[in-house]
Amino acid sequence: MAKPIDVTGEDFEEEVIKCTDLPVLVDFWSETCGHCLALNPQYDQAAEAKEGEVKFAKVSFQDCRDLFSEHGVRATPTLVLFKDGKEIARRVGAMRADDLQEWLNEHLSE
Amino acid sequence: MTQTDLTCDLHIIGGGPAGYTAAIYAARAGLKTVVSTPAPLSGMMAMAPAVGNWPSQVEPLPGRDILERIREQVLKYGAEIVLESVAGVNFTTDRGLQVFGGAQMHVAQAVIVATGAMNPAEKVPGEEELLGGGVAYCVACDGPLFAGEDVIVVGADEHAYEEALALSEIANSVTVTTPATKVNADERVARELELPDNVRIETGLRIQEIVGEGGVVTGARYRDRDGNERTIEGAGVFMYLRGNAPATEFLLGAVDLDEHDYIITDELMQTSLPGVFAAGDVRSKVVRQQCVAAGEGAVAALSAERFLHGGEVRSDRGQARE
Repeated sequence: MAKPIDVTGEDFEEEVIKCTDLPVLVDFWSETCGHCLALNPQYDQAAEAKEGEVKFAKVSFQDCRDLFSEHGVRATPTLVLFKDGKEIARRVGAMRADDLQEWLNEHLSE
Repeated sequence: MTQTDLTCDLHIIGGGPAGYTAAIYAARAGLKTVVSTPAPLSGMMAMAPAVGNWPSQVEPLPGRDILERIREQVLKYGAEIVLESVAGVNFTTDRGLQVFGGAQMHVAQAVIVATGAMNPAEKVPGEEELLGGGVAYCVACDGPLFAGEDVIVVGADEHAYEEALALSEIANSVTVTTPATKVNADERVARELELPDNVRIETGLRIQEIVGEGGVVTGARYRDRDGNERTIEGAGVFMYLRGNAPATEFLLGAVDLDEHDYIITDELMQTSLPGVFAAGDVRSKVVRQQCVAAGEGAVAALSAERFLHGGEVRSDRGQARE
């Protein structure tokens, strides 16, 4: 079962930017954010459904604030989709797993 | 993680007449009851300048005075009131019904949604375009992202002022703007607001647009009562505008809604999901009145009690207990 991986400033480059096997979805989240906590089970569910198609990652504000600044994240949760190391889509707020999958399909089919 | 698990029998989301009345009934029935509400007095009733149709109220009183008495009754019977905005739920786990507040997760065996219908029906120009670039709705979530910056709080009720107070400890400056001529917060909050030097209140300003450059918020444009326009600069705009749309977006489709996003229930306030009930203005119905909301809160609590006891009806229901 595919579970999202926790990424920090130390391995963001390796796990996200240099990942060319699969597109990478990153959830920039905060432990004090109810919307983020609500998204977690939906994110897990989507990760399972998209196993082998999309790599799911999470970056915590409490663990690595610098990554939030570097990527211009000004709201939580912010989902950023990377492909071949480049950002191709971004979305803010909690959402249902099926909506998340639909959003991914939309951007990955472009 | 800083989140904590708080377990209870019944979690009530919303501190208006529906939620608080449900809490009175539930606590009197012996249920461990928690109410999440963004402010001690929230919702339409807290905003009503004069209520003349509340039973037993011969002379009209401000709604918040009536609601304060209901709140005191909630506390008297032992329900816990947690000041927080509920941002989401997870009703799909087999470990109870999860309710996510600002920084904590509550787990309950039954939930009553009584969040009312005061969400803004429309977005302010620029709000959607700059979402993620400085538009925010929750200080617990996004306040730390604006540490040391100048921010704007748009809103006129107690929740907005509570959030402004929290922001004042993080941001460089906080400008609270409201189209009203005075704040609509209780004396306690107003007193506290006088304390921080970095909080400024601007009354008589109606927001016209959130402005930004390159997807990043730079401020908000307003019109004053004389029709003059001005822009206040800020890196973040925290929105607490009120309207007349149901507050159901945080449910993420967990229960069935009607075509206008109100929650569908049966006459016992049961939603499409067993153990989850709804009461008050957030329900799909025709009549929206404060005393009706209170009545529905009572029905929802009694239904929740019945659900929690496997259908068994308590023999002491409705009797006074000291």
